[in-house]
Amino acid sequence: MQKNKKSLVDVLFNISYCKKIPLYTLIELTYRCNFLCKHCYIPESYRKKILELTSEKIISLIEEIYSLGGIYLIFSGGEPLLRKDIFELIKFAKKLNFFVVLFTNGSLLDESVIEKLKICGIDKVEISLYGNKKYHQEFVGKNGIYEKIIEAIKLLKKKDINVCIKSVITNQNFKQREFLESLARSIGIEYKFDFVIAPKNNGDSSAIALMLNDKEIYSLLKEYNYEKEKTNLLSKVICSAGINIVAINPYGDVFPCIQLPYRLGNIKEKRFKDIWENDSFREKFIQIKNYKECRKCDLLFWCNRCPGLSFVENKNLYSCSSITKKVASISKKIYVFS
Amino acid sequence: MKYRIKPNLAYRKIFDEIYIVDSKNSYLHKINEVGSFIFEKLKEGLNEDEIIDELVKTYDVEIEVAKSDYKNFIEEIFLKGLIEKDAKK
Repeated sequence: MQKNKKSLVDVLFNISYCKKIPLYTLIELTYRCNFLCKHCYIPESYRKKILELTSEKIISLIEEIYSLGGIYLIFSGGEPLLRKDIFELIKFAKKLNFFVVLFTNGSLLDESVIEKLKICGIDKVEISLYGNKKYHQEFVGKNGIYEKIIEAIKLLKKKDINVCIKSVITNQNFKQREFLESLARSIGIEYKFDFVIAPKNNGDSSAIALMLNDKEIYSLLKEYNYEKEKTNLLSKVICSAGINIVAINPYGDVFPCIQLPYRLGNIKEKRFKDIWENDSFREKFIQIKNYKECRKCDLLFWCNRCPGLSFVENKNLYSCSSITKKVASISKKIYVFS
Repeated sequence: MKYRIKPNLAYRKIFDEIYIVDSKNSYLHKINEVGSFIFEKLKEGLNEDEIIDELVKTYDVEIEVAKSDYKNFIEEIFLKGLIEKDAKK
């Protein structure tokens, strides 16, 4: 028996990468949401219930992912708690021994919902929180929900459910990080954040205006001792999207990753297994020769390349994303010139 | 004493080894081939004597070796909170 968080995660990640096991699956159960977060990548016009996958279809999808060896299953949205079958789906996934994570805005988590989650055996709940009451409510476009979310986080912790707070840090809540970190610490839970904002799935890039400026990114990367983890060319350029990571949207479209809206197929038309086992995407995706710009780029070592950002920005998987390039350039400044 | 795998435990068998994710802290555990064999027998509801008997038959080892392997493995995963005592026996 071995226990070593970092190295074992790497071992499992590498095995699943080589064997094309969908280790991490994210299912967007719905695009409907009771919030209107400023940075959200889901366009408002997508928020329709009519085409959503049925419970039966999702259960059959979970069975297929199980048969392919997947273990981490994330239920996301929209707001996944708006689906009436959410508990049934969690219960089914737990019956198949998945590690089930719920991404939620927390506003629908009352005592009864938390008790049901506990009974279903949920493994982790990740709650989006962007700052103190004033900032958060303004950012998500809804008043009167803040105290309820904080109470829910505390109750989840009290019920011994693994819970964390997560944020996207923008130029509007940059100074809220300390508050959020301190809040998480006082409750005794994890806090995590990201600062990369992607254009919406329909190409609308208006939310990019919320992204931190160069000085703020510099200060954040430096403060958090931003590590460059990957050192070989292949792993710098090619990520695991579609290799051991997969995402399915509420309408059944299968994508290599939730941030990469490159449609691989639809589970209403084909079995998930057939879509997953079709190698045509992977064969192109892993060919290093396709990444012409990266191969000659002097920022490559500092870059955490995201094909999703490249694809949404330029409609080209292999192109350079201005967002990742900007971050790479700042990382280089920190580690080379300071 | 009979043990059982904790309800709601997240795990998957990949190439003869079982990976378990601890829901309390998201830590990952890996069980080797023999451990995975015992783990699967626990899942089937077998008791100590039945599992030791299966170990002897499958791995062609002396009963004392099987007993020792069983005891060490059970102690380890019990301490890690991955199994619990089965009150039903």
